[in-house]
Amino acid sequence: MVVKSRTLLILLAYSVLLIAHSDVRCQTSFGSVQGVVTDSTTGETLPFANVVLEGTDFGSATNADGLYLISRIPPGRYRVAVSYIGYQIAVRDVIIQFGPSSRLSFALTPEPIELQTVIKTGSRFRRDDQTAVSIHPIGPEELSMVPTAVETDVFRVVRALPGVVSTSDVTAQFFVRGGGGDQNLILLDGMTIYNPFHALSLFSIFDADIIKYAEFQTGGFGVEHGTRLSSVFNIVTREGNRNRVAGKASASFLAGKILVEGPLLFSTGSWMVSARKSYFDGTLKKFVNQPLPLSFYDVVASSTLWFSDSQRFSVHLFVSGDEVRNASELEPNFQWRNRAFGIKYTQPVSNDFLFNVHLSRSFFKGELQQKSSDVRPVESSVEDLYFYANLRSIVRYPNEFMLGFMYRIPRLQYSVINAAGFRVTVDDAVSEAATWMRYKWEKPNKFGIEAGLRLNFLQLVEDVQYAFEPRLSARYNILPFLTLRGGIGRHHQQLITVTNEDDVLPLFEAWVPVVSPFRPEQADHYVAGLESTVWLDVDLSVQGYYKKFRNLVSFNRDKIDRFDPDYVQGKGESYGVEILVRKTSGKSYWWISYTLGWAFKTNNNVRYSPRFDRRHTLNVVSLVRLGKGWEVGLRWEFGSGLPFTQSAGFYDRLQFTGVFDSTYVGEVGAPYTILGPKNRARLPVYHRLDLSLSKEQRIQFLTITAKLSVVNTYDRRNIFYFNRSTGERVDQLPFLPSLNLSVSF
Amino acid sequence: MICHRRLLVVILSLSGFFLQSCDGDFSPKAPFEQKLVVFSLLSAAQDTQYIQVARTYDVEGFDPFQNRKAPDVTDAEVKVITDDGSVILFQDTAIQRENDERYGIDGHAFMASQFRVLPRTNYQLEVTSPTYGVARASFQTPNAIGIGHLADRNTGAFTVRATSFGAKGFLIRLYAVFTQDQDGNLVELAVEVPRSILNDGTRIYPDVDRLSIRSFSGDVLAAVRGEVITSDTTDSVEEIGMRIIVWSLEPNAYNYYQVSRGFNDRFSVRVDVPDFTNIEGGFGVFGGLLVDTLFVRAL
Repeated sequence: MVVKSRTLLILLAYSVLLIAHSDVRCQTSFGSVQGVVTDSTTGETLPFANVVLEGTDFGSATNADGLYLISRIPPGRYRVAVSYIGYQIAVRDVIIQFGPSSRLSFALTPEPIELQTVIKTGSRFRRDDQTAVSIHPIGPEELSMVPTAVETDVFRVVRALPGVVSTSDVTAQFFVRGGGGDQNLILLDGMTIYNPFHALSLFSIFDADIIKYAEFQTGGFGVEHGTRLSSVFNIVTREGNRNRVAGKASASFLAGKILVEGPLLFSTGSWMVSARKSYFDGTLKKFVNQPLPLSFYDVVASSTLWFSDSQRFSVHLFVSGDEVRNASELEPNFQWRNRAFGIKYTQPVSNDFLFNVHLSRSFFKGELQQKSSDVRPVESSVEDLYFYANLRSIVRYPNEFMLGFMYRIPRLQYSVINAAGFRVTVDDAVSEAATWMRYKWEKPNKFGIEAGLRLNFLQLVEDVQYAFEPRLSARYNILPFLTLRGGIGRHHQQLITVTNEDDVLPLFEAWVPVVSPFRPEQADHYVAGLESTVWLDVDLSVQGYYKKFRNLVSFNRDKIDRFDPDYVQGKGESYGVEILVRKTSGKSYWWISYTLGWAFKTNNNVRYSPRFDRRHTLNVVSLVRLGKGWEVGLRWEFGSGLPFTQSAGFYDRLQFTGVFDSTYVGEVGAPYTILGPKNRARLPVYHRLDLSLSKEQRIQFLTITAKLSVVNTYDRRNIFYFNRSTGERVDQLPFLPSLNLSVSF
Repeated sequence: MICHRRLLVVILSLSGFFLQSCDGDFSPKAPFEQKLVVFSLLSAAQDTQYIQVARTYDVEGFDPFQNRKAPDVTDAEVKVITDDGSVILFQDTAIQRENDERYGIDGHAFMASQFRVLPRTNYQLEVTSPTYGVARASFQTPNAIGIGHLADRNTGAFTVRATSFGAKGFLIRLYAVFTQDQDGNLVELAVEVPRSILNDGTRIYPDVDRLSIRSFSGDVLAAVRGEVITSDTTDSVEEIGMRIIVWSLEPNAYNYYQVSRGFNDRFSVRVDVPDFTNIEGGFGVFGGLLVDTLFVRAL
């Protein structure tokens, strides 16, 4: 029965695809132009560059692989102009004819540092022909404009976007639109990274110099993305310099890094290696009252071979490790490691489709060691083997198709000493598969609709569960400067983390599978909003969202004994409004994001606000390029208080030891903390101002960048947590200046 | 340029404003409310029952061990009302604490003599303190315990089955009973039979469980017998039978007992210990236990 329904579905999908494909083939009364946009010095492809036919409304943005295609162009002679941040505009003539597509590729020349200003990138065309909602492309300008603690940090950019809540400076974990921290899918070149954070959050786990582009989607994401409920953060690394060996070395007083890249096999390929290592010990303690013996390292390596503009094979490796050795005997030590390896192959199918195959293995292991005990530490690990195949059309108008399949075998292990004093080790392998198809129809500059269906097969080993995920999004251009967008979608998640929500600070989040008789967690997204260009280069976006969660897994507060499950499934909801005002061109570039949000969870018949329910979040981010390589950056973040549970006194709790043998009378109870209403109180508001000043100077073949950054400029004491047993208040990052010097060649 | 100046002014104004902001209204503590804390498991195993009455407490800081003043409540009126309307008044009594480190050796409890709980009976507790308010709770004892047993001659296993309608949990204990000649006197020797013996020799004894049936394997029984016999230097030990002791716990007693022991679940991944109480207007537990014994003579 299972096999029959699966076969039927695949046949149905292919039928739709074939019918749609024949429709594309009928569009022969127009011509088209396509090609690839690259960097002339490195040979790397440039994603999301603007490609326009001058004097017309025709235009497009390059895709993630630097490819563009502008179709349905009346035959004739045109001038094609290509622009991209930091590059000189390139213009070339092209003759468009009926029939086969004209090929026109561009190699853009980087603009000299002295002349660089912020210019508009491909965002307009991306926005105009995009039906997806709540998507935030993160390109070089966004990465460079957010002031950094020490180095440029892609996660700090994410945390400045609307709908995103961060609960502390000390961890880069974030929460999207009322969803949990485990509900964010973080992909690095297609590889799932399970704990992509370095200790203390001063450094991103992904070196910004390796990032080609990133896309962050906070809701209603496409059918090709599944397995998470709240967001998808897709990071793609650069391929490396195809023309010459180049590199970059930088150092601050906290860490050092080196990046080397170069061509492979006579410029038919490239490679890149980036490595970082911290030397926190002895430097941070000057700024923080207590010693912070932290250390981390990370290595990213990749190699790509091109067989044509769109046919390529790449290999990716990511390794990271963190260690936190607390000086206090009472505080535990932590360590965690990520390992990921993946291969990707992209093959064009005729002129209209691209076929991607991806195979990867991700590994994460976290350990928490109580120093006062010599027993084995608490451990959590995930080992994930993942296969992904996707066929998508690269035709822009009027139809776009996608069909794909994925299969994964995650193995999760969790070992802990439980409340009854026994060591428990849970070892689960839960394979899952999914297939999806998507159809997108566009009426240029007016209307677009995207409909898709993802079918998940969960727990394939035993008791297969089916999870249907319909997705729908649409765009309607009410006026040339005003666009209405909306989207709905259903999402499921089988791998989750569960923590004790009564902990002031959850120290350890173990990954566990949701297995039978539980159902996978589910979220329905409803998003609608307006986008407008309110002034020449100022865009405004207002978006409302509502998310309904089902089957959310939490600790079973009514558990009595071994016959009751550890967990229960509850429900939740979140809703809010997000406003993003953004200036995207000129010498100064800024955005202001504001989110008004509510989040609730209900389990064991108790409704409460989860600890990341922040009512108001405001971010002001600005970058001013002063010319001659000087830049000033600013970020101010404000967040209203986060929920927490107050302590309400103590009582001495008896164990009734001896009740069956003699008597319990005379037993002295152990103190038990009485908790107030769950998460009813709020921590103080959070706000922080970060500033940066940088100067880039070219000396012969070297580019030297000096960057002075100040975190928490006015030294605001933002509370991180308070220790329930000692009352000690632990604050977040204090005033922290840093100087970073980098040299690239 | 004007735009940059404005931006600078805004930044400096915001900085100045927020530099002044404070966290005056923040407190990790909720307002403290003093409540009664009552612990009592009335038992059918004895004629004297105790009810420990205490109060919640707070400390100036956050370490509960700062509190050195015993939280015993002595000014309360404590009474238990049964089905037939009988009122049993409990009297304040001095007791000795098991350890004197925190509160000293002298403690208080409320005691009633000549009071043994009966099967299938409702008991209502009312604690009234002029200082700390009123706490109430009730429970119903299970039906009288029935004990069945089965000895498997092939495997040597011994199975005990208990029945007690209304009980949520049972503690089924099995003792191998021997006699030993000690200087001409026949002395009884009872050795508890473990539920299992681990490879490293650790013995796991039965604990409170929702299951009303418990099997003791032939291997475990043989190990217990062998141990007693080999340790006998007088060569006079003789097995005379098995003694079965069954406790049945009504739901409140069972729930509290299990929760306070990390759910008594060796396979749970939970590391938290939540609370359970059936005391209205306070904390603690008021519950009851029945007990019965059966001696099975060796054939």
